[in-house]
Amino acid sequence: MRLWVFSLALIAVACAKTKTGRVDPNDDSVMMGTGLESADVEAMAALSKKIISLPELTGPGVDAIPRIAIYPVRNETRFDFDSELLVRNLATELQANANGRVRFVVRNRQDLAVLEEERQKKREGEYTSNKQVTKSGADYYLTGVAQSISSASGKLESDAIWIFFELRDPEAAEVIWADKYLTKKVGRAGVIYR
Amino acid sequence: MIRSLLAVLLLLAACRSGREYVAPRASTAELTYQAILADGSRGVAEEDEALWACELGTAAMMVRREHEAWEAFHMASRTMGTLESTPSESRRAILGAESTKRWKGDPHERCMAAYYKGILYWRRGDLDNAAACFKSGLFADSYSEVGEHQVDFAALSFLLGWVSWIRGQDEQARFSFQEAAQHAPENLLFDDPAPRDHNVLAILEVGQGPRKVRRGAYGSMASYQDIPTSAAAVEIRVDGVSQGVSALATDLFHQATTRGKKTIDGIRKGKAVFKAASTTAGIVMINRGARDDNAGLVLAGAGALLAGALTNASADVRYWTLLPAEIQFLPLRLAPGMHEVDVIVLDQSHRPIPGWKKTFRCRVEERPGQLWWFRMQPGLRVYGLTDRPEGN
Repeated sequence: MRLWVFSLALIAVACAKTKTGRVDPNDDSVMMGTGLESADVEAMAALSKKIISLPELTGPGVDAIPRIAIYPVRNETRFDFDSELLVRNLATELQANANGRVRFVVRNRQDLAVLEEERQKKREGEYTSNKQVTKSGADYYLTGVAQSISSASGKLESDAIWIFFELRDPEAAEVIWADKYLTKKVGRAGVIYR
Repeated sequence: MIRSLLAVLLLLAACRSGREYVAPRASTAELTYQAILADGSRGVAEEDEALWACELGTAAMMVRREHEAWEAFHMASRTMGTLESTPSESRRAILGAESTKRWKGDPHERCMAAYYKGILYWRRGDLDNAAACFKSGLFADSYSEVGEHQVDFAALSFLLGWVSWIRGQDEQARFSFQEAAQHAPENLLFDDPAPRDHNVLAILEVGQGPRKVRRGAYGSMASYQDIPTSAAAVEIRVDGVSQGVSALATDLFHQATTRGKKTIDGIRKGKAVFKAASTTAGIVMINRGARDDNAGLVLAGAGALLAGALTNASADVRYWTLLPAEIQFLPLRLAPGMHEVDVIVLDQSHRPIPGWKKTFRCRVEERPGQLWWFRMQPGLRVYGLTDRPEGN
């Protein structure tokens, strides 16, 4: 009798319907894997407040509105991700926090090659303002690189992912700000997949 | 009475095993692609979604729908990227049919999903993510048997080396090429790949990938069968001039059969033993109970029989049917401009197989690291991705 009930319950569970629900993007997914998740992208955006408070951008000596070009994050991890999503989210957060004190331009991957050319133009004197802004350029550029250490042993896999951000002055080839975001996740392979 | 009971139990057991997804096959890639798409529109069970997406992605590559292929592999990778399972999923797969679990592929299938996604990223010019996919594929291979067969997917190492060289990461390139050479010592190309001397890398996939079958008591063991093919290598001629013959990088049958033992294999074996024992015990108890007019024993026998009938020991043999048997490479150095490229399939003696060739009109650009992908399919067919995908 018990076996019958158990079997019927099993069949009922197997046939149970699931329902899509709204969740907090900062929450961990039920099946999230060990790569970057929406919660990481959101957490990274918190770095924008630190950037906005830099004296080089919003300090008393700054007389013109500085312009920052934001480039995609270089991916050195084992996870493919939309690096423009990271950048766009960060840019949106920066815009929201800047209140017009800083301007931003989001650049794509192809624009990275333009950077060196722009630097050369600056040296040749093609300035549009006394802040050394080129015709197509910016005063500073924000870029980053994602790196990871991955390991797996038996049923466990772990990934530590660092995303290093840098704000650079292209003219002086100087890093004026750097920070990092670190996340580490450990996944456990289910017994049915081992 | 006993026969009726058995019939009900068998029906119950059959209901619990469900339908196992097998991708439709048609005479051409276009028809196969359309048939797989039609499967999708009719609705694919959640547990088969990743398998369906992998089949769709491969077919989409053959019919030159690169964006659709990328989307399919991206969808598949969301499931295949983690080996976690929910408690209810584990319960169902252990107590019921294993094929009720979400398909995530065997290690070689996870390697191949990453390999295709990497190729598609590379072809659209996203080398960072291409490299990430090749690394991810090599990581998936680490779930193969511990020892010499762990991380021995030479094709992925070679592609990671090549893409790293294009990205200016010479040290990573050197390391990956060494790894490829170590795992495919018979491939002389890997000894000195010299990406700087070539501007096009041709990937050539030949044969049909291994077939996964059940064997053993109650089909409780899964194994792979090699599917023989007459195609052994590929010659590429550009504007009538031979550019050489492709060399083997990865044999998928070898990859599939060196995955090592899995915990679930032991569980299935235990279920098969339990099924056999409880079925035998049930029959013996019912017979003895009927002979001795012992209703309790008959009931106990029916219970044992029920337990045996409900135990599904069958191995999950869902597999990616559109995989090739081998991945081969041939680097090319070509002048920029339009070229007539003949892809000629060769037999074991490296003689052209009559009728198995195709000519492509290809544009070579003035940049390093162009990637061409060709697939030799049964029926003397050759499919290829050569020119840069639209929008890139």
